[in-house]
Amino acid sequence: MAVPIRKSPVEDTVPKVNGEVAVGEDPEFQRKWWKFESAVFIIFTLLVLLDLAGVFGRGPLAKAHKSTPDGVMNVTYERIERTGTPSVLKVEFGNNAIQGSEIQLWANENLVTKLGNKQVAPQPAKSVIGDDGIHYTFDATKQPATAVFSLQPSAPGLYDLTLRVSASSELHFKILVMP
Amino acid sequence: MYTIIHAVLGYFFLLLTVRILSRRPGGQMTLFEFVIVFLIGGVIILSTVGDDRSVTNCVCAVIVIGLLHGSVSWLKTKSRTFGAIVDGTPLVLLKDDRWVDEMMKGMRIDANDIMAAARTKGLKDLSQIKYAILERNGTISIIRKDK
Repeated sequence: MAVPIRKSPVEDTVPKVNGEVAVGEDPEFQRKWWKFESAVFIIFTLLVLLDLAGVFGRGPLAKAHKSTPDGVMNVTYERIERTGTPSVLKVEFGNNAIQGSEIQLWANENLVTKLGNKQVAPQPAKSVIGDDGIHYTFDATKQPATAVFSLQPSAPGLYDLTLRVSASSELHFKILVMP
Repeated sequence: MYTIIHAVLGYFFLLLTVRILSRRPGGQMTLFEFVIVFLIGGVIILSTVGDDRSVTNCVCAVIVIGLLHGSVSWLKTKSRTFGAIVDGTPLVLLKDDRWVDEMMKGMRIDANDIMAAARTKGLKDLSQIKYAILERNGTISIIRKDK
């Protein structure tokens, strides 16, 4: 047997304008909404300005530079990165970094596992894993000597990065990866 | 999992952005407004699917957006306030031969927009209009004066 279609009485619940046209207008809600709209526009404008400044990466405030006190290592990097977006970490070595025609650099494992290092230029003569990180060995003659690490983080987060040429020449810094 | 999170965030962000831009994109869409809707949609889809352009990922994203849309529609029927937040409320723009300036200015609508709606009803000038109402879907309803 077919189930009957349920029907309910029509009630004139929609508020009327001038008592004749059922509109359901709510000017008070609309006024509140316009205030909310203005607030959102201000927030959006601030977000764009912050983005231009580099607060969310890829801008002047995102770029950073660090050096060891003895000048053995100068690192240029982006302190704020974005997930999946390529960036470059550049390490410039001073004269004291070159020992016996080679430079030995140790980086903690976050360089590869969190910051997505896929390529090093020039290619190291040797890279060895161990000691919670990677030991890179670069052939070198004299200054200027620069190694460039291509990064592409795969997930957002705040990651520690440590680079060490010798026991006394160590740099430790944090990199924030935005979603 | 990221696609689902991105789809949810993208849906609500797009809803908010289109809602605050103006009500016109839903109804009387001009070429100028087409640009906004297509550009925003294109940008959101990039972050939703990311590098994973597989059928599985795209189907999941479509299902999530479909479920969200269904849930929002259901909530609209249950809560009048929620409906007003998502769609707004109808607004009277012209009443008894007088413009409702606050609503006209606030909704960035001018007499040309009202007259465009009036012409579709076969009206020749503004004096023939009794009420002009901006509907929730962005169209302008015209109620003519009794002859």
